[in-house]
Amino acid sequence: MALLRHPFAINGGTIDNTSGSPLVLVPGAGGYSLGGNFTFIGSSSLDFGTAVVTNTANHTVTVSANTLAIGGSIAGSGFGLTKLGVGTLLLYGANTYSGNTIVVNAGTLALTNGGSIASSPLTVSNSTLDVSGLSAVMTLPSFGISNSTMVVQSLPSTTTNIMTTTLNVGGKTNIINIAFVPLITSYNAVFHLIQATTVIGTLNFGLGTLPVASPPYVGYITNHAASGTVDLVLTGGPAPVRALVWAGTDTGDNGPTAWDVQTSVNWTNAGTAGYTTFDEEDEVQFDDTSAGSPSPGLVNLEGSLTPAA
Amino acid sequence: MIFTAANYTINLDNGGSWTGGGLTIGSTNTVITFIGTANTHLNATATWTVAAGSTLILDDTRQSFDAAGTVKGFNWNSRSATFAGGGTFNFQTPFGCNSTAVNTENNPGGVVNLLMNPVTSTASAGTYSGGFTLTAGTLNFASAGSAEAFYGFTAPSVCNQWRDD
Repeated sequence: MALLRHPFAINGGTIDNTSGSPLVLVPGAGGYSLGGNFTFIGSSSLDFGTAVVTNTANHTVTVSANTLAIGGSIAGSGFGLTKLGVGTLLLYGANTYSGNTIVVNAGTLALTNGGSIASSPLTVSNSTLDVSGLSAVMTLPSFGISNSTMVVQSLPSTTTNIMTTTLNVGGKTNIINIAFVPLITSYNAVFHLIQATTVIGTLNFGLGTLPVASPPYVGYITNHAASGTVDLVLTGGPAPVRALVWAGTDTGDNGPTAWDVQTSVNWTNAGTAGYTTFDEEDEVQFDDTSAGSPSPGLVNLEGSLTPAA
Repeated sequence: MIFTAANYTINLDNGGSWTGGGLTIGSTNTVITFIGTANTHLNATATWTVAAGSTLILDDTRQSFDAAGTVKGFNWNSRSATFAGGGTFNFQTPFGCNSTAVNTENNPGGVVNLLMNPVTSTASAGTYSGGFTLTAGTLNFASAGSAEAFYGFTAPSVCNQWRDD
């Protein structure tokens, strides 16, 4: 008798993890079929792992506490997901479903690592969108946000965190919390957070929190209606790191081969005359311009060093 | 089998077919525990019904669940089972051992607790390759090993079921 072999089909009901610790499910090659709405109670967090998820209609996932993570690609042409509940739904797979993603009435939608919903219009209302763990730009066909909070990490200044064709903004000020900023080489430092081709409504993003630093970061959010961009501008904070180039010219101190901390003047700093020492977190570059090292290419690392790049 | 208002521990030691396969715990405050190592196995599609307030504990250790046989359970013999009734199912050992069939939880108000021990390796094929459908009720991953309860599932496909009747 020929039968269709099913994977783990979730057509309704409730799932929980009461093992006392977060779990990562191992569902085999069958993956998941999402054929109904379900609730994750969230006594402890649960990760569905990286198995594929086939969504067969528009469905609601309620996360009542902690985190429900889905790392497999969620497929389903024309079908979407609505996330409810105060817990976090975390997506870390490259999802292909093309229906709407709707996050409403509290809770968090988080995307991390290579997570994406590039084919899904996203609407976030009275909730939190956390993309601070993404390793790449988030692209969306459309992005609607109102009365909500975003959590982002500032990407290098030439990159934009979220790029969307249409940005629909509403409600009161939408708060952006900055979870991380890369090393600053100068102030003012500008980071592009959102870029939209078309804006509907009035851009109303405001700065929430900045990463803890000493001295503390100071900055603001700019809403550029004409260009459809939202930027973070940092006007102050920890001393900027420098971009040093190896010179190998110190005939005193620890010598022309020594890479040490604040001792040997074996570096040049672009835009500054003369030679300088290395400070922790400085960016360093070794190229062919060094004229001083007695043995070409010879550099002795003195102790523990923490360059920026 | 029908149980009402009494607690029993039953040793499934006859090694025979459970023809019909049905089970009903029809009243509240009843706890029924199945243990055993003999090859007692389902021989037909089954519905197991546990009324709200009652508990079925399955702790049979006959049939290998994983290739190495480090975890064992009742022999489901590729017969589908539905868990129903609004009560509690405590699977101390995994369900689905030796099964290409699909099991279903349709247990509004009830709970299925997966309490199995972990297998030594999920690299080799498991003996529960069929599938599981959650329709209603709570499916609770209640032990560390329960994360591997469905590790043997294979890719969705049209296949032929095989049974060792």
